[in-house]
Amino acid sequence: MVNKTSPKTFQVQSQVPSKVKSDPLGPSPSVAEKSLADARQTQADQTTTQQVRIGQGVAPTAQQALDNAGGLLKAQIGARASKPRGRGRRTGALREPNAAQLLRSMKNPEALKDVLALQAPLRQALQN
Amino acid sequence: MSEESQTSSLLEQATASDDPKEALRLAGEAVSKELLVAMKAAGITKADKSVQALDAAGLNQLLALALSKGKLSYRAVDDVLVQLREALSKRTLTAEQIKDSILSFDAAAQRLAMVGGHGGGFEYPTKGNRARDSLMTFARSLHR
Repeated sequence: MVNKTSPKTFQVQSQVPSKVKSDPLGPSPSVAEKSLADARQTQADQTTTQQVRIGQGVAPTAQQALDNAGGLLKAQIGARASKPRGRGRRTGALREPNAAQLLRSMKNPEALKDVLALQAPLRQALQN
Repeated sequence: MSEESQTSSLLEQATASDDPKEALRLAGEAVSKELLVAMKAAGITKADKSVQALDAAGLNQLLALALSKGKLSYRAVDDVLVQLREALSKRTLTAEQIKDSILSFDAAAQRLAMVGGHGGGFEYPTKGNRARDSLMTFARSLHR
């Protein structure tokens, strides 16, 4: 990648003495650093140029933004409506016991009168 | 020993006790036992779970106190809320346990008041009942 983007790299490599056919240690640190720095700079320049171009292409004018706002909103509403709800726990308001439901849930309500019959002994036990 | 005689025994012990706290504990236990039997006889589903939840935060004692007075007093609720907040801060009870206990208490009290009817010796209105409102507000605050 470095070699492709930086033509200077080839030039530097050609300055290696001819006696050395293959350098096991690779190019000297100064040469390698220079090549790498050049490559990075070139890449950075390209990236910046690309970003600027994309930015220019995408940035809408005020009128375009206004025209598009309705469409974007519609898309958002559509996405929200079509998105299935998760199965996670949903917390709503606390479900308080409801008198009608409580009454319906009892087959033999009269049985609870036995508890009410404890009122007198409870009064006696807790009079202190 | 039958459930009925157990309840009577617990109430006798409560009456004989000199310690008001111990008397209240025994009375609460007696109410829990009687309530479980009555709820099962009434055909209420999950009666065991409901009474267990009631006992977990000690609200069986509040029910015993309310039954003895004929209504739930604001003072009694206030005392209980202090204890529950302390239990919550010390982490001896979870918010879920306390909330379930309050809901069980509320359901049991509503049922008992309905069965007793007006002038039946136990009043527990769901509207204009400051004591109940205070208890339910606390339960709502624990709801996540």
